[in-house]
Amino acid sequence: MPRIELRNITKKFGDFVAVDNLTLDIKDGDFITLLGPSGCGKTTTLRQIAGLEMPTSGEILIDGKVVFSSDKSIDVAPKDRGVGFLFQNYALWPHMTVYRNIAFGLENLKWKKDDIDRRVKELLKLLKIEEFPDRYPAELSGGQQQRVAIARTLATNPRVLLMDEPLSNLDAKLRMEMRAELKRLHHETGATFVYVTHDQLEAMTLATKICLLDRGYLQQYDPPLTVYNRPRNTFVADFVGNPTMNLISFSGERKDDHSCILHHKDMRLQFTSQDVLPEDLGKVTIGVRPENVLVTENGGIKVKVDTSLPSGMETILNLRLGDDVMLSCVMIGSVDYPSDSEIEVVFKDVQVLMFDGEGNFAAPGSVKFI
Amino acid sequence: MIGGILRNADANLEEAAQLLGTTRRRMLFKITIPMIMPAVLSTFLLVFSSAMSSFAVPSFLGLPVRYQVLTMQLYRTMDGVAPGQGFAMALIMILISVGILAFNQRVIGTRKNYTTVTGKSSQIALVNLKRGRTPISCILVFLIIMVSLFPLVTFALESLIKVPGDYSLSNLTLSFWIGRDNGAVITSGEPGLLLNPALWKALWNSIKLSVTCALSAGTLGFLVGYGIVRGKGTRISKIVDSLAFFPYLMPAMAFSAIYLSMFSVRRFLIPSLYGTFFILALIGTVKYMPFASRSGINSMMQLSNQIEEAGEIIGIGWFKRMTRLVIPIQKSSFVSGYLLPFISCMRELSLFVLLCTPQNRVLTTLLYYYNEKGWSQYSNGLNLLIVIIVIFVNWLVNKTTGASIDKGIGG
Ligand SMILES: Nc1ncnc2c1ncn2[C@@H]1O[C@H](COP(=O)(O)OP(=O)(O)O)[C@@H](O)[C@H]1O
Ligand SMILES: [Mg+2]
Repeated sequence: MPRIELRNITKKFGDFVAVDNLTLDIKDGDFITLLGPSGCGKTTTLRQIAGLEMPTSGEILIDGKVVFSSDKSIDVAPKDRGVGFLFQNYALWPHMTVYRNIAFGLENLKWKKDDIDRRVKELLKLLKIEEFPDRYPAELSGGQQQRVAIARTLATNPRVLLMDEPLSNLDAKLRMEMRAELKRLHHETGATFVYVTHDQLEAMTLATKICLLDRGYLQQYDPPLTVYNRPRNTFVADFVGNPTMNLISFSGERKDDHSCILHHKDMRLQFTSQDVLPEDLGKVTIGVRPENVLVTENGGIKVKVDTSLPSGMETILNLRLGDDVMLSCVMIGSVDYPSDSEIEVVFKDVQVLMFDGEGNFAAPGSVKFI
Repeated sequence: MIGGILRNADANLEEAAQLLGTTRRRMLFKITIPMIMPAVLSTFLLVFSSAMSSFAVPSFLGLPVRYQVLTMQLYRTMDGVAPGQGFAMALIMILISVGILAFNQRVIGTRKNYTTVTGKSSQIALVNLKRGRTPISCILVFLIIMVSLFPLVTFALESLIKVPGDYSLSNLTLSFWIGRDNGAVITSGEPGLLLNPALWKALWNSIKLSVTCALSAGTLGFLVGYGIVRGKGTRISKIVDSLAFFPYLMPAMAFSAIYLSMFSVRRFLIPSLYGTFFILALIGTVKYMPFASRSGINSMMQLSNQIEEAGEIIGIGWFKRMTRLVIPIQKSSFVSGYLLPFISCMRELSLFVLLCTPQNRVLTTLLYYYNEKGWSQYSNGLNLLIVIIVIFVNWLVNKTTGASIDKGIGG
């Protein structure tokens, strides 16, 4: 099971830089998601790993073997990289039956007829499409087409499976099911998965590690919970999580290595951290996840309820803090506060994040309103 | 057309095969060709059926060698000897066309549906021809010159020589263009083309007819296309869609034979229309409406319903929505909807040849007349004129509006 390494990969389309100096080390057996807003270069990155697109510069290694290098002029053909590719629109061959679609790659490898038959049957079963070997793709539903596409990709036992938003054309319920199945497949095949998505929830639930891109730049490459709890910068903090993290800007005044006073209009609070705070504070941003905004009986800061959105399992509250700050808050269970009612909230200890003037992560800590 | 098919084919389908280690040969035979086959076949059938119903080409090229085709027979019988037999032949031609259409439908409408599978085609893969590039470009340029420029030069040359076949300098003359009386060289003292009242009259008729057809076919076609797209999915929209395309598949001459039989005598309140400008304009409009409705459909398909709805919600009336939103946005295909009928009409022979009388001759029927008389210099010169007019109009419209014929058909 191979490791994939991208070293300083840059891809330009004319003058436009789609991927900018990307270095990524994908470990053996990982399930990586490439996450980012539309147009950030996810597909381009994936296609470069597959060999369908040629990087402008850089180096790609699969399993320790250089498959692309601009310096050494190496460019291994896609078929010799041992990768499978799942296209967003499935790319099933419309003129072949399901069976033939799956068998095609094996025929290329000159497998014996019996072996092919056995392998195809096995895949049909694995993906729960045993009933349809003789149908044409146009006669299948979206979910079934997706399964056929997966079966076709898995048939040759690729050591690396590259997937480009494979679930984006499915409806919500089917998407949930297929997510669980992809996770099962990852476990059963033991292959390295690289999965492109713009859906942060999908990335969180599936990945062992998330690679977050923005406009061709790598923003963060960490396990999902690290990305969630320790975002490297405000872009990541804002992109991951729903509802999004509350980000409030303050001007800071350092007291000692571990504490400071923050102002926003007439709001004042004290921030304390285990870590050493940056030397000059100036403008900082404080980030609090909505679930870390806690409603309390007393000792909190007063806020006004703007809207409350109960959804059964949880309730999302939009709160007004002062005259220009909006806070969102997630509570378990359904509570319904009338609009404009006043409540008090506190921020959960140690879960408040401080970002410096450039928006980079500075320190975690706790705040007290003073 | 095939270029369009290849362009629309989803590059992912081939990439998927490439990743699975398919050899080039196998890719070609197992993926690429089967995938484009229905479209190619369908193009083939359309070309076949239009060749079936063509009249002009065989009558110019085939006449000298007595190569008779159905349309020529039809013309001869209709034009005199046995009209009854002619109508029977027209019927046969229509049946053949319908048969081809039905066959085409069957080929396309199989289980292997080619359109529903691909979501959106993404990357267009450009094949890098590398070293083959220069020679291939040269060959293509050469071919284009051979098929397009060469005939024009020939027309020009042939219209300048006194005795056909002799290309010596002394045999050249301008008298077929500007001579007052060419009785000395050929026949009945026909004046040179540019001084010939028959030509000017035919030119005027042609332009009048083409403009009329373009305006009516273009407008009707646009409205039909609009109606079909906006009413999409309803039964009536489907019916109108196939009806609107029907005239396109009708062999032109069989079509005009029907008009001849319908309107040549007085019926009820409709007077005999044979030989009138009106019947020519009518048949031209009907015949060319499919072009306009196709380009109307194409442009409307690209235009999201919501653009119009956004206007509707804020209370903009239908007419204003058309003139302020829909037409400006789709300007170039809208103009193609007029351009296509105009140009087709300009060069149409088989549709008009049965219905024209010497009084309302158009350029093409005049050309046919010259050709029948065997005045090759005149017919070549006239041919050149028609081609130049067509190219000029296309250029002019292209220049002023950015529309052009190929856009209209390509869709
Ligand atoms: N073949 C191409 N030619 C020019 N620009 C391209 C091409 N493919 C992608 N791009 C551009 O590169 C950027 C990244 O594209 P892509 O990797 O497809 O984004 P995404 O993250 O949505 O998958 C986009 O801005 C896109 O417009
Ligand atoms: Mg993409």
